[in-house]
Amino acid sequence: MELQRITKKYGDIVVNKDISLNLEMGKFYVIRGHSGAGKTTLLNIMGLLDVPTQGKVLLDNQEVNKLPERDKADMRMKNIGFIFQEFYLNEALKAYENVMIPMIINPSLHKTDIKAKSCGILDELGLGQRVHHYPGELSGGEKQRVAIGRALANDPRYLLADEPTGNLDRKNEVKILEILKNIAEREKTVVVVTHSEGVLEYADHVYMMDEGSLMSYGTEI
Amino acid sequence: MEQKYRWLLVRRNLRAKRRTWLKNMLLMLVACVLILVTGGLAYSIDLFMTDYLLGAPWLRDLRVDAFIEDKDRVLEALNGLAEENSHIKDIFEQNPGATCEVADAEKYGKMGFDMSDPWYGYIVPESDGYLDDRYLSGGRWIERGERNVGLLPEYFTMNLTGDMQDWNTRLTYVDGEKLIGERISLRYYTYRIMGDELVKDREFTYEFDVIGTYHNLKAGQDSGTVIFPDDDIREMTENVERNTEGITKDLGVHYHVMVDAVENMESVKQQLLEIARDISNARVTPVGGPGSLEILSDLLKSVGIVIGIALFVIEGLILATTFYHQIHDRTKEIGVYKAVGYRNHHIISIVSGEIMAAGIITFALSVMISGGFMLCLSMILKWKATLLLTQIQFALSGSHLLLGLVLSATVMVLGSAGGLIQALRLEAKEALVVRRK
Ligand SMILES: Nc1ncnc2c1ncn2[C@@H]1O[C@H](COP(=O)(O)OP(=O)(O)OP(=O)(O)O)[C@@H](O)[C@H]1O
Ligand SMILES: [Mg+2]
Repeated sequence: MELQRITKKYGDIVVNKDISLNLEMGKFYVIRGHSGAGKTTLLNIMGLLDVPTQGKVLLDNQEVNKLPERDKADMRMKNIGFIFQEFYLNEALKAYENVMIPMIINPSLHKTDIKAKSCGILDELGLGQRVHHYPGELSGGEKQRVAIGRALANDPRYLLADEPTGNLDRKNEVKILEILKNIAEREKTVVVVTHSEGVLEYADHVYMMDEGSLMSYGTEI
Repeated sequence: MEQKYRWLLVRRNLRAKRRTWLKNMLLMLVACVLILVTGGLAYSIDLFMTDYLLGAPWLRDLRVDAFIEDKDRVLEALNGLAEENSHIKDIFEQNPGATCEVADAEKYGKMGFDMSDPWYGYIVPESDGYLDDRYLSGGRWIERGERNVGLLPEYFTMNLTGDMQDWNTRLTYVDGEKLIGERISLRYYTYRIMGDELVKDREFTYEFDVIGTYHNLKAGQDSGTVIFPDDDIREMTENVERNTEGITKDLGVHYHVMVDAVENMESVKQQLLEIARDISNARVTPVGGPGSLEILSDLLKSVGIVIGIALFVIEGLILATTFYHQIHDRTKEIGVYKAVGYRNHHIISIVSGEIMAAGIITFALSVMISGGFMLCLSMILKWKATLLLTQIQFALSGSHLLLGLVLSATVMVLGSAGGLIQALRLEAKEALVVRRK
């Protein structure tokens, strides 16, 4: 995925300022910056949830930011997994059913036993004993692992996480970061937006966002 | 999206929101049951009336009474009318009947029958025209010139209890068929006046063979009316008249004008009233009429539908607000659907699935409840009511089932439209944003 000269404005306010970034496969990216700097906005543009005012988003060398919404929805389903600070699990669904949500609409999984597949994903995330639990019965760390399972459901190439450890204690944060690092090592691209210092040691590339501008903060620390 | 998973999501979401859904479903259930039950009742009564009662002679019978000295004038006018009006099927003079008492009634009664009361019934001559061989239900009809034979009602009660007047819950019915071939001995009386009261004076007996039964419920009565040959009746009447001073001498004449169908009763009645106006003291009386039952069925239909629809409208408004709030509470859930690539048709299919499931469950429940109610009603009637009313076949009416279904669907669709549009408009980036202070 490549971002070319992305600018995002709300009226006169420039939230993202002329940002170019090339996301390589198998790398762990971290974007830091103070509140209101425009991190979530950029992540949403990468994730095709938002459109830039200027600039291009390229996926497999195809300009995707101007595609109609239904094509972008398809691209999100196949290529992008989201992880949110507040997990956003469906409280009415069991853990494995939450993981199944993205699989349900994936036509290439038509004949697959998606229940077994989602249980397998949760098992790999260390939640083998928790697949039939409802989110209300899980701890914060476990919930976030279920959410990671959901993000991995359709085997996307990009994993975009907005403050994934913001609601977790240090012990759980480490666990989640280990998992994300692991995922990146399996030839996926992980982008984490965070305030947390603890992420830095896992990152391949760290960027700093300041008043809409993205600056490389240093790599391979 | 496979239906299997669509319904999984629908099931889980309905369960999670069961409180809200149950409240909505309950109101719709009441509205639906009301429409179904009242519609079914009206339909059953209608069916009963057209199938049973409207064919009955007593509903097509207009009686003209006049003084004996006007007999010729009345008869001439009536015959003239009958010639020009094809709706008049028959005109006959009412034969003087008599009450009778069956000796050894207890022999034919069933267990639990009150033996202390003998069987009283009317006697009708065969040529009366009120009942004819179309009403034969067993055995055979009286042949020309036959004597000392009679036809009994298919079912009959002792003591002349009219079904339409009394809800006598303790009636026991005698099966007329079982009496075919029996010889029955009947007593009839002359009367005299003592003070204000009519008391039995002299007693005569008459014996007859039961040769058949007639369908008295289709004829609209369940009393023990027996049909005898004209000659036998004449003999009995003469016997009574010979032995009575004055009181059986009737100073009036009574003509029955039989109309072909209930709907033509009113026009014939108007013509008869015109005739009666020219003859002093002549009267026209409808003997029977669907009256109260018809009004009841119309009333049931309209009241049920009005209240039912009003409830549906209220339900539509309540559903619209609750559903709107529900979608508002579900922005995160819908935001996630959108973020992971759900398209609008997926979201419509989930949300409309919930509405459909709730609607179908409610409708099915209301059909079951209404059907159960009708079943209970017919069971209670079979157990408690008189024979005539037990002939009503209670069933739900197809048109009201359709009406209930259409109304439920409409209310569901309209009630959820606002919320659904709100869900489709939602953008994931707005829905999933965390607002930090
Ligand atoms: N829809 C919108 N309309 C107007 N302004 C917006 C809108 N969305 C975001 N903004 C503004 O854009 C700026 C950047 O927001 P963004 O959510 O990207 O910041 P962030 O870096 O993620 O902050 P935080 O660390 O608090 O999550 C903020 O000033 C915010 O108020
Ligand atoms: Mg943010």
